[in-house]
Amino acid sequence: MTLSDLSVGETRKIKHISVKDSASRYLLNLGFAQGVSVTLVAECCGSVIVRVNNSRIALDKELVKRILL
Amino acid sequence: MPIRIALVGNPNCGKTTLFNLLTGSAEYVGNRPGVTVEEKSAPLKSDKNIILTDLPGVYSLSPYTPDELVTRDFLVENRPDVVINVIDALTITRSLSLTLRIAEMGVPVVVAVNMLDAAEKRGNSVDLTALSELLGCRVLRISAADGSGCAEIVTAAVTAAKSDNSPILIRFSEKTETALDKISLILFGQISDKLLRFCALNFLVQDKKNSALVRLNAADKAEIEKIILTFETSVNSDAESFLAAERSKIIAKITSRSVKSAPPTLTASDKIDAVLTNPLFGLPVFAAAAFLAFFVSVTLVGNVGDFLRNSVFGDFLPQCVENALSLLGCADWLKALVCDGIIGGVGSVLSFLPQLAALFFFLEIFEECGYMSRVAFAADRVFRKFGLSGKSFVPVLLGAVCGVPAVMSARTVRGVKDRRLTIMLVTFVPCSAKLPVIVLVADTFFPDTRFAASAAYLVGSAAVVCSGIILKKTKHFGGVTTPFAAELPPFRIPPPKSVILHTLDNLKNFTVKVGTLIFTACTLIWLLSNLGFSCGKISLCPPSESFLALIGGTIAPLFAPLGFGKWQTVVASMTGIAAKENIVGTLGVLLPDNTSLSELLTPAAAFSMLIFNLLCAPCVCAISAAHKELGSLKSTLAAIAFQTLAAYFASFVFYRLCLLFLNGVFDLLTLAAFALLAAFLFLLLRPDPYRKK
Repeated sequence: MTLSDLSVGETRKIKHISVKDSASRYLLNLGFAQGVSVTLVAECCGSVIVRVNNSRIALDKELVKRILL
Repeated sequence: MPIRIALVGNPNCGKTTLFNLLTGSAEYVGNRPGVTVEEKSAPLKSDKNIILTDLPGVYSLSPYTPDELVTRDFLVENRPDVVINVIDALTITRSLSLTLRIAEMGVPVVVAVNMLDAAEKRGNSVDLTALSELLGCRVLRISAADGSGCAEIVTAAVTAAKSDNSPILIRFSEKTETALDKISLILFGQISDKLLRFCALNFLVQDKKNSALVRLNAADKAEIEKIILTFETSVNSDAESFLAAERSKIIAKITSRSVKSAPPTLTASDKIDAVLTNPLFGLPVFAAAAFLAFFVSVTLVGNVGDFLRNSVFGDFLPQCVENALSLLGCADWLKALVCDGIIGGVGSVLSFLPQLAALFFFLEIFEECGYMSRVAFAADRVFRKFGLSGKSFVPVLLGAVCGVPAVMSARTVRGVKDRRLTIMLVTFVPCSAKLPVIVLVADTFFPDTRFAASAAYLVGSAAVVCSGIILKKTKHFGGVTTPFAAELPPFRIPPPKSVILHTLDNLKNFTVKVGTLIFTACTLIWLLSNLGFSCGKISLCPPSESFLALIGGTIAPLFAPLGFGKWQTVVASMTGIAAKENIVGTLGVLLPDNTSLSELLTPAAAFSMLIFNLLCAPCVCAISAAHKELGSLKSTLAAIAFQTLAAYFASFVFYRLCLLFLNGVFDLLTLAAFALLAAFLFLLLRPDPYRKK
């Protein structure tokens, strides 16, 4: 499942991130990695705001697809 | 030898607060629009022999964003004696990944854990002693806000620099270390020992920037490629993902023994987020906020600017200076140059300062309270449709005031293609210097309607949207769009002191840029428009006989198809290159007495001239700002050429269609206009050949 399938407030662990370009690298830099817990804060048309390691990150649809829970 | 300390940390972790506290400066460095993202250095207040350097906030040291490049290049090329790694206690897990990267560079490190009290309030705790043992370097608690622990961190840094202790050696898994050893063996002797591990790691993940550090021969390159291939097959993943996973495992091990985090709960800030980024409320709330900021800046504060332009720089100051120069016995031409050319030109740009100050102030408030990053996120969906990113939003908003800060703020746009596109397109938005031209044309030719003025903004916006769509389908700008990802800082009440400081800093950058450049440009344009050949030698002459008139007259036929091929209008458009508000002034000087623009041009031709001036190459200041951001003469020239051609195209099609429908003129040029229009529609509507499925 992806981040946009979570309900607001729900927390899950990341199973896999596909790293293939600099955008995904940026995800890693922002603290997304295998095994890290993410909580959904808000969802809007496939884009999400999530909480990772105490920071809030906004991601668009494209990036949401690359993170598998 | 002074000791050089560099401050490195994530954006928003309090580095700059610490820098200002320790050096007593009021410098501002940050990832916000309009501020140069560069390193700043200053000696310590307490010890002038210690030089502190503040670097842009980064999440990593990979060379993919301009700020990361600045930080990374500084650490590699300038090699500070020690790095103070500032960490926000709340986001310690993420921050530690940067700590590992710095350590890999082989520089001594001390870690400053900032904002620990805020983290503790939320039920988190950090065991500094344990963390220090696990990392193998000093870890101290500081508060950049009240200054506690800041003197101690400097002492610790100086001790670390003097002992030159090679820092924390974080070991990866056996497979990774073997691959690294093999690469190091090839690199050995070709690079300084301290950078060896850093370079080997970079080669393993095929970091492109590495080739600048080491020039390898073909055999070595092939050898390294083989090592990477073997490594990737053995771990069954690409090297980069694998190393990222390994680093996060190492960090998890470190934090499991030193950090206790409270379970995540949704805070008040999260709940505001749910509303502000909601598809129903988000955009209306934002539109209201932007309208307020814009209305106050352009309309209310704009009046102050008009006063400055018309009274202070237009009347009072030139008078005073002229009197002073007369007393000194200066020649008339020098007086005219200083008063009309320089004070008039520079002053007309400086009179935008009040408007800019107001807009910067609002933007700073939005930014400081955490709203701007949400706006960028909400705008992303809309902007993406015409090839720009949500982060292009601030440049576009600034573009309505002045192209220079607009172009400068495009730095915050991630993705090289998106950034370049933003720089090329923001100057289409009518800046406030173009307002006088808009008002002149609207008042002279369409006095009864407000349509003309609004139409000007429509033309500008349409140019941004259409050019965005068309350019995004070209090879140069097409392909993958950079996906949007941004950290959203927590909502807070903006601290007045930093809002004011940052506003002033933005204004200072703008003024310095304008002051130096436009000075030269104004002088040059004045000389060209007041000197000419008479009796075989160069001398002062009326504008109608000047060099500029000569040039204008020569190229005027080019503009005949657009309806305004008179030398006066062409010269006026040319002086617009120095500063757009010059256009109106130049027309005033060049038109013979008692004739108005309406005797020279038809309404359609006048609007065509307006369209051309709205869209063509921006003023020299904006061009030079764009040149600095684009980084190459070729790109700058391409941008100017594109803007000017777009302007020519829009004016041409507009004027020809007007002639056809108003006067029934149908000739070869009308056919050409239809052909161009068809080509435009094709480029606009064709499917994107570079879109990746």
